[in-house]
Amino acid sequence: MAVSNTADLFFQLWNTFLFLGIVIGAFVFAVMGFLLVKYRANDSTPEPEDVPVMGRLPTHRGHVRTLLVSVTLSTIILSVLIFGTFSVIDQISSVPAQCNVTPSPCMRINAVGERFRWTFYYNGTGTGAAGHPVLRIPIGKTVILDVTSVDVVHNLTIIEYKIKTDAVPGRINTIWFNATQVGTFRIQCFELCGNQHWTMYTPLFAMDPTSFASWFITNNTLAGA
Amino acid sequence: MDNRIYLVIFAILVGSTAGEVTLIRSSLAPVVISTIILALAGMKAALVALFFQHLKAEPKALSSIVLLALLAIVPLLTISFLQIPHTFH
Amino acid sequence: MHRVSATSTPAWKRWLTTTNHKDVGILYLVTSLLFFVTAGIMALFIRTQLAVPRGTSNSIVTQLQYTQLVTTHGLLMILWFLSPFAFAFANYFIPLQIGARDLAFPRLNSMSYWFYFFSGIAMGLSFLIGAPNTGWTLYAPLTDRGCGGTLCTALGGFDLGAIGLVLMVTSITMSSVNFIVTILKMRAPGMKLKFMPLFSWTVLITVFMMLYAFPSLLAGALILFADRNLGTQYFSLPQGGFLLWANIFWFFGHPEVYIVLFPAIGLVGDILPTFTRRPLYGAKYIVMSIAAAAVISFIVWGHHMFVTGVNPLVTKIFTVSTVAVSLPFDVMTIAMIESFVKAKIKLKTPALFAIGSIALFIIGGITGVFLASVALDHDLRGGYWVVAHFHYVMVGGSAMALIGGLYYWYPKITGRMFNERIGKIHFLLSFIGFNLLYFPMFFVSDMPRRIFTYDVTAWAPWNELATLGAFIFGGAQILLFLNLRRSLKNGAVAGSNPWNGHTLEWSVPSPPPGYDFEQIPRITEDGIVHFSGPSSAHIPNGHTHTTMSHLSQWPLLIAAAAFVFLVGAVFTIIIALVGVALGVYALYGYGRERFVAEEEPGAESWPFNNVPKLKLGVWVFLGSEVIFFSVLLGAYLFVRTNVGTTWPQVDSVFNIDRGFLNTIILLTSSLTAVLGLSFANAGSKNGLLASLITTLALGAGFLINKGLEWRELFSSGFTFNPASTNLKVPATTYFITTGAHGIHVFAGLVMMVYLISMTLKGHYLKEDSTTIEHFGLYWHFVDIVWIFLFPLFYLL
Repeated sequence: MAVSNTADLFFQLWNTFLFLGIVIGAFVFAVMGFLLVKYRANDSTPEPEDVPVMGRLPTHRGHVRTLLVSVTLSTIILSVLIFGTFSVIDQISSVPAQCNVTPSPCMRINAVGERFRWTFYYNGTGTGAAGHPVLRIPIGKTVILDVTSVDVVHNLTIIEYKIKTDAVPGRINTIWFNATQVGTFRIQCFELCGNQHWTMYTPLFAMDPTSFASWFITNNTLAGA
Repeated sequence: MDNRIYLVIFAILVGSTAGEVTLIRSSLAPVVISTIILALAGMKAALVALFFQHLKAEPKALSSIVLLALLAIVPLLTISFLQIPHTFH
Repeated sequence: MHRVSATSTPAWKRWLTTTNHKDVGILYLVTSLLFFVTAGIMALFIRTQLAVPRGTSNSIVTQLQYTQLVTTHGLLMILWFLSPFAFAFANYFIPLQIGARDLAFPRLNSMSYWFYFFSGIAMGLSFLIGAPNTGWTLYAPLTDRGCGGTLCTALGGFDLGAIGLVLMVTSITMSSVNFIVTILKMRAPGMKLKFMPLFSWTVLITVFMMLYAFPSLLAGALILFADRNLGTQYFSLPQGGFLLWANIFWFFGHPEVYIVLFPAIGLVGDILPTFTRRPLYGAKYIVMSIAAAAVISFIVWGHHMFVTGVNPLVTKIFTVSTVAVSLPFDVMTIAMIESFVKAKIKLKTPALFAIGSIALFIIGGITGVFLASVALDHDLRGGYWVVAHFHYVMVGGSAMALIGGLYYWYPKITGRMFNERIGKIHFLLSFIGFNLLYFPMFFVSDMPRRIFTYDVTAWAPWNELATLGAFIFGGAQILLFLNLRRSLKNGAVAGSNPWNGHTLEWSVPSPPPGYDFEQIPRITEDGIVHFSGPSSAHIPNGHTHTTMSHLSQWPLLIAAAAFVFLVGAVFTIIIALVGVALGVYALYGYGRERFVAEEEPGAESWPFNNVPKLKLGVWVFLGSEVIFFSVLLGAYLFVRTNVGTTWPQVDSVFNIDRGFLNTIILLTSSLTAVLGLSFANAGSKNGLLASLITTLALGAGFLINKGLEWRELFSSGFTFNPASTNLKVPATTYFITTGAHGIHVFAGLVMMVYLISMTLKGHYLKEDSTTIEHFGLYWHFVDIVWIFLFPLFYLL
């Protein structure tokens, strides 16, 4: 099972792309290789009838038929990929409806990027003393990250969850996920933000709900609490 | 080309510019004002191109160079305005 | 201008003042290969650094140097190597392929090269004093005031890099104009567009793309420069900011990557028939596909912005358009592979590189489809899958094909054959090294780009493989240079057609004489080429066989002046003034030079049959200006839409009366300009003079009015960076847009001073009036821009 719902969605689509890509690539290379071997010249091979010669600009060769067939086939395959893409993007680009009830069963966290660290706020304001340099989340709960930056453009990627968004100053970009397995994962910045861009990574700890709850109580005060 | 046509076009250009300026003091809705003003600007530009730059008399292929440019830029000027991110809840 | 024979001009003088397309081609070739080696060595540093996980203590460069290397490697390879390399061939061979003796505007061509040359100097200098370190994509606000309101990168080389970019874009725009007019107006009689070889077709399509794409980069660079140095706030405030830069840059950036690719595809399309001994399969469909891909390439740029937080609807649109663009490439690839059927394939070195590039392009293309999916991009963006993909298409697809072209055309250029065995070894090592270098990167899509080092041990093996491949690939290129260098002296003498090709460049001696063709070929309806016609013992305009093409020192001096001026404008005014003085002197010399480019009678020129070359050239240039100003205006509209209701009310900041007055002034000046043309056509020197002087006065009046207006605005606190937050974006957009327009007005004034001085001497009357007409085209365009500026800034 994938480590998050987003990873699951991703891999289904990814595997489709990969399968088709490899099959088509292999097929095309096989044809190419075959043709190159079969029609490789040696000196005894006669010149083809329509050999282009100096003094005569070449005549047309080929039917549009083969090309039309390949374009049609390609369109069909590509449409599959487009529909698959649309289906995934529809799911990951909007926060699940269930989160919109009050009280929300989902957890909303602010993620702020700055040169060169991430800070996570559980109190929903993106400021104040409640910031954490690592991200702890409970599994089995929809977590929403509101991502922004206080200086240049960064990119917050949760590598194993196959989810990312740019952290753009002055804007809030939202991603969400539902972690399914306890573990330690990696958050890293994927947009060049300065010479120390490479240092901008931090762990994500996916914890079971009880451990998370006890950590949360000792380490966080919600605004107004 | 007969010089009179230049004077006529000039008169239209000046007149419509005056029209643009008076329009903003009118009581029409801002959207309407903006649309009319931009349409007037477009018309003026076309008149200058067609008559002062003589595109009307030139082979169509020549206009196509500029028209292609306008066509190329339309996606940038439209799609980028759709990009304004939607907000999550 | 001098007409001298090949033997009497010293080499240095010849190379500095040549306008012959073949010479210019060689200049481009050598220069671009120098950049290839430079940027390639940078890549070896990068790969060495990344081979194993390192700490800051055992790294081979500093963090700053690393990000500078990454940035400069990208910029140099894409802008200073790939296209110039392709255009080395375009310069040398387009006239030969279409049956012309040179490009439409030989001096402009030389100027293109020298602008490129000086742009390279600027880049080199920038590297010495602190190259940009922001990635070749120059994302704002990293390149702007993103760091607490101050510049994140105050490196001295940044402005020099901007100068390099501006000079490069100028060079490219001049080349676009030149090639468009050449290919559309100077084809040999009977050389209809449908008879053109694929290389000529792809160059034609490419230069149109360049014409329409590069002005966007220029606008963006101009705005970025103003932000950095004048305090404007286009890219540092969120209303414009990152999204605005990304749109402007990638609107250019995506067509750009096809710009570096298409000439290479065209080369493959020329090489294949020669080495398969059959016509290309579906040649006309290949051309149509390339044209289709060129068009679609202008509406896919958003796939570089998939995870920037834009509206998902927009990302879906771009997914569809990006996936769609793979279809024409599909057609091209299939057609090329079909060409092998029942062919007689000779795997000589050029063919190996051409076919190898097809194979690598297929991998690049398939992996690109992954990146077209906005959903998959949520994993792939910014990682090494992207790096692998674009190197497969740009190095595998483009550079390899171009190197194949270098082998293909080497005998023609030098008159010698290279060593075929070493060529094959070069190919083998390059192909193996290339795949070893880039294929492992597909397996580390989890690894971010542009990182100095990493601590994930799982990434290490792939990086080690890649570094090994890099050294094999890089080292293999030594064979290329050694082979070609050695063969210059020791290679077997090549005849005019060593490969038995059919395109027209193979009909002339190797190397071709200065005037290219003994007799310009004529082609019949069914494609038969006749080399009959009047003997070229005396080519029109009195040249002889022993004559070198025209030499002119003005292109070099103009380019040098531009370089000096821009450097001075950035660093110290005194140098700028030197640049201006040199520029005035050089431009005057250029204008006064009696330089006559040969005109062959009966050239094919559909669909521009009755349009003179120079007028066509002016219109092509104006096409690029349309893009430039549209992007500036678009940027204004973009930020204004984002700002919304806090934009100043109409009539509260900008003085409508001054704006109205300026509009009337410019409109009147258009009237006087076109009346001037009438007077010129009628032969009235006094009428023309009066018109020009009036137009000049009106133009000067416009600028004076604008100057006064700016002074009023400044004194009321409306500066480049006003204190009031609400006014920052309005000020920025106003000053940059009207400033760019004002510079164009000023350029027009300078032109008019020259025109007036010439008119006084009796020029431009009756049939000679074309210069006045061309000036008018420019001046009316400047007026049209103001026609839009006025309502957009003052009335709405």
